[in-house]
Amino acid sequence: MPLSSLFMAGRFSQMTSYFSLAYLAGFLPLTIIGYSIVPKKMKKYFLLLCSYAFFWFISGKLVVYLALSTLSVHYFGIWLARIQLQRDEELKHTEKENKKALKKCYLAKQRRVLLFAAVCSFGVLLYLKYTRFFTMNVNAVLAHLHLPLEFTIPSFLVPVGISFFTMQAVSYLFDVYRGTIEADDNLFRLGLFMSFFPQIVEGPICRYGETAGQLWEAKGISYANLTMGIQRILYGFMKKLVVADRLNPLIQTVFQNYTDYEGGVIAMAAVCYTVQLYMDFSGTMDAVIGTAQIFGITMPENFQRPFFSRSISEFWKRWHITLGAWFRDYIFYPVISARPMKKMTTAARKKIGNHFGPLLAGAVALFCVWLCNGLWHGAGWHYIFFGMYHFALILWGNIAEPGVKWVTGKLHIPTGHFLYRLFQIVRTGILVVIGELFFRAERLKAGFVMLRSMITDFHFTTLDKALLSKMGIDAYDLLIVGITLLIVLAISILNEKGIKIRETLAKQPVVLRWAVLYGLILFIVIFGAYGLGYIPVDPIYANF
Amino acid sequence: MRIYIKHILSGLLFAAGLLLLLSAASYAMIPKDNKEEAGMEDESANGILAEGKNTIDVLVVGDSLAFCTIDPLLIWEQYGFTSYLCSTPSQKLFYTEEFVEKAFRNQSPKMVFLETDALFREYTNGAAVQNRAERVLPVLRYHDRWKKMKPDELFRQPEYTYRSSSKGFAYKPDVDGIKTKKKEVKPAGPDDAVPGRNRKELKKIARVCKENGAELILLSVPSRKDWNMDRHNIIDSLARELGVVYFDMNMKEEEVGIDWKTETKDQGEHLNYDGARKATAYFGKYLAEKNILTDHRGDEAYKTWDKDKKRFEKEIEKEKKKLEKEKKKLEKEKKKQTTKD
Repeated sequence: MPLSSLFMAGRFSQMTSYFSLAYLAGFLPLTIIGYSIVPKKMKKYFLLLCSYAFFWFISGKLVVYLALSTLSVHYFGIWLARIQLQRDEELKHTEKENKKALKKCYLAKQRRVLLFAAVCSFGVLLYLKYTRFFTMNVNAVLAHLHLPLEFTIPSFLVPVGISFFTMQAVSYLFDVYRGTIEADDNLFRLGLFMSFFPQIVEGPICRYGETAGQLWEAKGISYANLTMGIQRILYGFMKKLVVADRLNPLIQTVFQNYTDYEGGVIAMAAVCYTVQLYMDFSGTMDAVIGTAQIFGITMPENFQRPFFSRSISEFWKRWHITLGAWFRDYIFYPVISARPMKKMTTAARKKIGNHFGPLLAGAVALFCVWLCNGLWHGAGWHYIFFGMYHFALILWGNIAEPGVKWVTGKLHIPTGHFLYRLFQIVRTGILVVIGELFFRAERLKAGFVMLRSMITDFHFTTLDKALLSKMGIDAYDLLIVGITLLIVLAISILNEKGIKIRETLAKQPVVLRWAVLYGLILFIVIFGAYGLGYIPVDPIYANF
Repeated sequence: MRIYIKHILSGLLFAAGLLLLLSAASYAMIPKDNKEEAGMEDESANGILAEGKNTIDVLVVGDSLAFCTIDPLLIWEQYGFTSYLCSTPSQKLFYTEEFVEKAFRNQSPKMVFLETDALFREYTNGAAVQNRAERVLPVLRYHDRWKKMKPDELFRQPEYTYRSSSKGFAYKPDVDGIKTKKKEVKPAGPDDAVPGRNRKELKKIARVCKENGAELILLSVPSRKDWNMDRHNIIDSLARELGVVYFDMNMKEEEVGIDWKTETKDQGEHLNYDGARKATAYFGKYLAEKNILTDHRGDEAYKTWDKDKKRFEKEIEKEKKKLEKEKKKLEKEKKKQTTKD
């Protein structure tokens, strides 16, 4: 289902893309100018106002979901804080021997409130995003059983970014519950944390402790932050406009008509999609983090050169980092540290040893994480398969680790050697591409058909000028994509080696700095895929 | 404060440098000819760029209704007036304005006809801003030309050589007539309104015409699917407001004499070639009655128009033969199929 038909109801829905003309040439500059003009005390309120205005522009009346979510989270946070306050007060007047029981009692109380709050937050998300999928599957089962019953498949307008702000809301409540942060009694500060416009569409999923304070501090715009922020936005613009959008026709054509193409072409499209997804999402993150930097806010990074990963497990520590961290902190740890899991680990350690013992409970927690990860990306069996695929790979990686160590040791394979590391990187890349193939496929069955074709029919006999033209691109497009990827690769290698390019560039003479910026802008203007004949790809992660 | 001023100045300097660079890139990237293979969009409408200086008497702008209806070479044949159609499919009014402005650079038409269907076409603010930006910095429109450009094109002045033999008119011989006997026009709906931004563009077009000494006339060509009385009344009051003439051929149905069973190519939206000839004949008569245009037939300076007419007739003949061949082939296949069955 196209993004526009499911999400958004605002008049300026094109602003959902941070690279749209309306956003870059309209909303953002006006917000920067307004923010610079308003008095220091009012800046934070201005930012809040702009954030709500932005959400209203893209989502129209659906802004009410964001407002209600913020109100409820604020209320639940205060409720949790009150329980903690009551507990502390009572603890002061309680005998030492009774303190444990009292703490336990209050913990149970807090848990009930937290559970209720999480159910409320996730309930809305689940209802809006998954009722349709659930009903369709129920209908399929009923049809399979030849029962004369069919439920109407509902269709809802889902506000953009609901998955992102719901996760921020729940993380806030969890952190208040754990005592990591104090509940915020200021509704506006919490509101700004929940709605800050650059991150509301595609994240990153921020923690209250990381960004709320910075946002509320509302520093003025400094020249250094402004230029560095613009520079980062431009870098993201290049990734999106030159690579992601240019590859779009090829990907759309092959994935929609996969039965018409041989395995080699399908493999090429799967690689292109993986590149597109990375360029689109990381490019958007560059724009988000760059925009936040203009306002003096440091946002958490969401990508750390994921294609240099040597294992799937490492890949997910470098790709969509804030989502992975959220699942780790709020699903993996709570599941693995639950009492039955601890008992299971202790028993398993005794029977199967210190390596494999904890793996059992780890596998349960990992399963929960990857089921949620798959479902978070969308309501579809191919998403669930995508999650389970990564669950299986990571679990296998954990199980096989001692075996691999033993084999490499016995065969005297130098695991630190460049070639071995390159082999691991390529292997991880191939596994990622297969995962993304299922992720992008229209349905699970289509994913399997494409994978089978890649394995049994892998050749490029029909790949020529005519086929490229049929796929909506030409050799020049591939050339420019290749050059851009080389630029991104070179920058990534330098970053990986700890060389901070932007900081290094900032120290150079003004002529050189400007020349680099002019070059980047001209590169985007000339080689960007926009205008007549191009259809920009919808912000992919705004769908989730 | 000094630092603040220094930062503002350096920002302005950077922007000026960027503008200069983009202007240079624009010069390098603009098509150096008005042919499609040179990167020019809407080749037929842009053919006006290669017409002799001040040789066009009548300019017609608008969408496909215009280029399916008005045949400039028929007007030439019957009255000796020169006209050109800068009309493009689904033309938006900012693009109409661009063509009017472009035409006046090399021509001085006495009359500019704006086909009114384009006035009802909506578009986003973003599209209008983009068009404006592309006109200031053409590199934004022609950036993709790097794929086909030769190095010597970079610094060359544009030289327009493509002359449309049909003067922007599209030959459409297909017949797909209206089946019902009852006269039906476009049902009234929310799209029967001229958006605010189109009114502004129209005022701009009227101003440009006035400044260049041309008379702007709003024109509605025969169409059953894109016209109704509501639309007529809206345009009529808009014309009064602007002080321009409104020439609605739909109100003269009997005089124009379109046979909607055989003279439309898509059940009443556009006219086919036969319909276009009838409508053009009426349109030519209207031009002649205005008594302000000169008959250029026989004039040495307009000799190319006779050549173009012959060229267009040949093209039509060729197209007719091709269609005939295709028709015969289809019939043959049909026959084969029936004998098989």
